[in-house]
Amino acid sequence: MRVRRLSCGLTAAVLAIVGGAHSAKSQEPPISKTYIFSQAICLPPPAPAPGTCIPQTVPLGAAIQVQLPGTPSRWTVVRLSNVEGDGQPIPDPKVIPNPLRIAGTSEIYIFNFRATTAGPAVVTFQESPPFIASRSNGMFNYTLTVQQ
Amino acid sequence: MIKSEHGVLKASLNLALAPTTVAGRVLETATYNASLPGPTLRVRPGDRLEITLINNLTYPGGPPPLPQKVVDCGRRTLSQATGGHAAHPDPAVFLLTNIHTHGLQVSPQGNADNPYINLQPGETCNYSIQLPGPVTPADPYRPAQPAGLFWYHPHRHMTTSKQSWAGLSGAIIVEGDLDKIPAVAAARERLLVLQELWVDDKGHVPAGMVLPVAGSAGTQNVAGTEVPFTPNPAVPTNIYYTVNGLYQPAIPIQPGETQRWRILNASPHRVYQLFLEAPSAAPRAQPEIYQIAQDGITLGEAVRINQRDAPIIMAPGNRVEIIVRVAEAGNYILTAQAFDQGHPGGALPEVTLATVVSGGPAIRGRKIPHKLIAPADLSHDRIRVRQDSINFRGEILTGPVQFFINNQLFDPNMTPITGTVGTTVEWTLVNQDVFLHPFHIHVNPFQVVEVDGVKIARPIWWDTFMLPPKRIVNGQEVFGRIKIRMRFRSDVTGRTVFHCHFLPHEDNGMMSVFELIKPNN
Repeated sequence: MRVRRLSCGLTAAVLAIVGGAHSAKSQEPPISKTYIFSQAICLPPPAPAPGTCIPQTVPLGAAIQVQLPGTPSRWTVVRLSNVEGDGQPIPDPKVIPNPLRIAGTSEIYIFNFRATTAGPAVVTFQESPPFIASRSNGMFNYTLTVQQ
Repeated sequence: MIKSEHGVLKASLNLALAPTTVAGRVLETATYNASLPGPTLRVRPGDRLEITLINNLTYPGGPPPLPQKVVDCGRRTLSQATGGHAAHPDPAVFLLTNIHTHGLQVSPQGNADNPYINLQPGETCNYSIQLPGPVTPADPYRPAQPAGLFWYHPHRHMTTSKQSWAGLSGAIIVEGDLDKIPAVAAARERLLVLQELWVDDKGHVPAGMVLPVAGSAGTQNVAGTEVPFTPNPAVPTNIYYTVNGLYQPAIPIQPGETQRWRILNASPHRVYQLFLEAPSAAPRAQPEIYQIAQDGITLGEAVRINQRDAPIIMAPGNRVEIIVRVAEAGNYILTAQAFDQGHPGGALPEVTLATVVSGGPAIRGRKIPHKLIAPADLSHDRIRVRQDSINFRGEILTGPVQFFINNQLFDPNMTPITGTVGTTVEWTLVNQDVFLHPFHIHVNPFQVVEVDGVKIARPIWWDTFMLPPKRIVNGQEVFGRIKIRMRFRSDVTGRTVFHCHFLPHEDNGMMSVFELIKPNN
């Protein structure tokens, strides 16, 4: 494999733009370590059945975020195993506007978790009243394998 | 940089994984010639580009590249390829590629700017792309290739977004008349290629299906980790916004100096609302910015940019050329402002792109250009065809997301819209979404003559233009709508495409076919 020339090689040399001279406003970027899941993996396709989310694998201690479109329907956590709310046992969602993006909804519910125990893990959400999850009685079941 | 000689540009572009250091991390992504971005190509109207594209793409950690063989790529096209938009796409599809010379008014057939080419790993394609030169007498339907900024990038359907997130793109500079205007010629030239590199925790472009998520939230609410997509299977990812492959570089300038910035948005998804923030609020410290070209076509006169009321907004694929001058020493911060492009969760957050470092001896007497080159005027053209209501619509609830043009996903064999060469046409484009859709058409640029029912007094030329979103008026949804006018060149025929230049939209169906035909067909 060939080695790339100084990140940008010839192009940067010609342009005389200098890397690494950071302003007061710039900073080293944070590196995300969060696993993000949306509703899409719980609906066919690609889910095998409504509400049966595609299984995922995360490492022990991983930060997990679940984003679900709602309002007027509301999403709540009804079951947790081997994961915990990030900062509290059962997390309260952060709710952000999402108008006109997904029919029948106007906000996104964002839940943050942490994988606390190795092995199989489950997070189950209830949508009230069922709308996105109407074909699974309002339930989305996220199944995880938490690896040591 | 690779420059044409005696009317021919010869370039070899080797597609292969290569390591690079960006933002303190070692990434391994697909590159052209191990360079990020790819080499800049400099040509003149009438030149021929002879590009050898060598597909040595492999999976990270996978087997080494296959032995190369030259193929008749103009005959091995997408029309014969199998596969479609699947919930579980074949990973091998992401190793397929081709090249598009965005904005060049060239043939879409054979081994020219043919988006149907389907180059597999281990295959080499010899492209031959003839730029139009001036003709005598002048013919409004056979203009020379305008002098300005254009670019190349992969355009194999279903792979364009991931290969662009890897950083596969490069600039094409067509030299010509604009460069000879004294105030332009006196300005120091800079090329700024804006890219968004999407990588996973191992520094690779994520594998698997791409799903949109709220990019405004930031993972675990940490600023700087706002990524508007997640792959399935999920892994942690980041986006790095780079300028010429560098993370937040410094751009030197002297007080009073004029610089000509050629800016290319080579990102697959991010819209850049540019803002150059002065080191102080003093009026004298504010930068002077004049736009001189849009999408490779020179404006009739330089336009002073009011950054707060009418900023430069660049959709993916757009290019702008500006003259920049600052009066004072100090650090000016170039940012992409928070911008709502209709993505889930609202506006994508502000990001810092570069620091413009003003210092050194002051330069006096540099002039701002005023009159430039009068653009072609379509207002007196006879409109031969009015194509009503080409509709753009997406569905993002399930995966893969699906984006439609006229309720159809892209199919290389779909029935094309036809256009007769040597005529002027008007198309009406309708956006049924709150998502913005940057409309791009190959071969022929266009003028936007109407936006949401408001006629444009002095239309300019584009090859990529963001369709306005649908909105609520008196409780009713009103779709975004524009009218465009195009002259179909009389010397270019063949089948090609138009599409949304949010490349994840294009890869998920939002592309359609049109065919340029001779009058008697």
